[in-house]
Amino acid sequence: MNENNLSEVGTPVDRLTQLQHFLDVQENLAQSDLLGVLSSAKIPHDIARVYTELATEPEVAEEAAKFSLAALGRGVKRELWDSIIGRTIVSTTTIVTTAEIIKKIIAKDPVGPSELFVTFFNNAIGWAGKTIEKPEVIPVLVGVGAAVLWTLLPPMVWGKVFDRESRKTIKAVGEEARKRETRAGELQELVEGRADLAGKVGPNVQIDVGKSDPAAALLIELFHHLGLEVVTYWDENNPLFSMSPYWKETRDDWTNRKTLTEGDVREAIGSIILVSNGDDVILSPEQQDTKLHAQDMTDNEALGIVNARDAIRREMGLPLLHHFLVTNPRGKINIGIARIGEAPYDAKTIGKIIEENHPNVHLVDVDLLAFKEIALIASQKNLPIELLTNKDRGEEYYEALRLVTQAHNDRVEAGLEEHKIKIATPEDGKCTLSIVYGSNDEDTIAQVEATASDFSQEGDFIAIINDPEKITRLPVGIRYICIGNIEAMGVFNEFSKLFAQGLIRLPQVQESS
Amino acid sequence: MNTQQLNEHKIMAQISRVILLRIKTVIIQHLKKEDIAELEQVMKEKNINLVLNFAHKKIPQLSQKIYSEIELLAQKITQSI
Repeated sequence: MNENNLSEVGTPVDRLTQLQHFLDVQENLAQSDLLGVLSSAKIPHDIARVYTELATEPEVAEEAAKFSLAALGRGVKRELWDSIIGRTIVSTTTIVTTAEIIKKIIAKDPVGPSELFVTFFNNAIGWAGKTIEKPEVIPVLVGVGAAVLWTLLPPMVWGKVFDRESRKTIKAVGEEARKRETRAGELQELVEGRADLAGKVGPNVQIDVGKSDPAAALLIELFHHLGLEVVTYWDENNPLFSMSPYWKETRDDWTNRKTLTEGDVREAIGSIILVSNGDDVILSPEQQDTKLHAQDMTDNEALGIVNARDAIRREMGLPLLHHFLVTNPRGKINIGIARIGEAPYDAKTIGKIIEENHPNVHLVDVDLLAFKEIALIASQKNLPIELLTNKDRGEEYYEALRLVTQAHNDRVEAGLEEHKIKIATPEDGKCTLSIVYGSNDEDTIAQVEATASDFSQEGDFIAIINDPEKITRLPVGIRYICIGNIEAMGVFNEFSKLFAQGLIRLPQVQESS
Repeated sequence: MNTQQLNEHKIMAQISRVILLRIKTVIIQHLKKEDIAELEQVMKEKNINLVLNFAHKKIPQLSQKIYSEIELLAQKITQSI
């Protein structure tokens, strides 16, 4: 059968019918090819019949067709999320797949649909191999295959197929936007972070960013991979608007009820709070600088956000959200007590407060995640570590370094981590792992330029960069750890764990008919 | 579902059926003769997961081969419109 003849059949206006006819032919050809190879392989007729009919039940096709994804990455849709097996597959394979993606991002190697599909396929099959009773594996795989195919089609194909309806829609939207100033106003409000998003976003993850955070972009990307929208909260402007247009401007008022309600907290399924001390994402001091010009978001503000979101959800009669708080749990809440004599209280750490009062808050300790990597690198040559940083901050950073090293080593002793870390002493001379972490990424890069050739001679040398964007600015050949990527991965893994346990669920929404 | 969603759904269902057939064909095409007898044993369970696992173990880079089929189908669709 000559399939190409079909492109000449019918009127060009009805592209949809043309595509359906084309797929009919492809289905017949595929059926015929399968029968041909079964016959060539001399497979007995009864076995061949069973093989041909495997997984052709209408419900399998129906399940597979639910993967109407606009792109594989953006598309694990609610049908998959809502199935227990699908959820397990996604939460298990996503972690692995995402790890692969991140590795590729770090390696500056773009991830193509081929690689995504191969990774997903291998992981899903590997997972399915654990037991045989997993009837949903094949529709998931076939559906993902169809989704990958979707991503391979140029957008113009779908534009042509749905031409008439698209044109009608575009025209209607366009005319309405032109005619009604209120519509234009709404768009402007969206751009400026003032739009009321309540009930308009759908299942979403809320991320409190502040002025900036190196993990924000990757986190948005990762949640979009799962088909979830993200509502971000920023102090003043949202430089990631093109990635995620749903955002609220906070003007440093993170607990404002109106802001949170309009940020669609009703449909949220989780919240992520990114605390950072100015440019310090790791090694922040025990006592935070609460002056707003230096602080993106303090622990005090983060606690306020947790309480505010919880209060609003309670008022709405909704279950409390799970919050993922990215901070240094060893940081202390600054309290002064006015009384005569010494006060009989100790300052509590944020970690202790969360442990005691907030079971729905999950701490992500980026310092420990980063130092796990550093410990691994140091252990390869059995080197003690030293920190190179801005001259005026050496003392402050040393104290933070001492605390996080102690915390890491405590975990090693408890059997939770491997490889203890030793801070270099004068006896170690130049035989050290020199870690460069300046006050900000620009300082780090300048310090790397100034010291790399001297400090790497006898020991080893590594730069710590906060923002994934800045990695390319490092001199060629310098090894680095990217805190933004580690932070995003840490949050995402915590989220995936809760999801796999069924503690985070999508709200049930009635599909409109 | 609106008409467009319904149409998309129908197309995805049809594409899925073609992909399933292509996956099955790729598996048979790439199995060695000595594996066929073993496949017949696996087939007695009438379980597609077992077949997939079997094929995954026997055929190197099965996923890449299936991806190539998907890519080919996408090219054909693009050319047909």
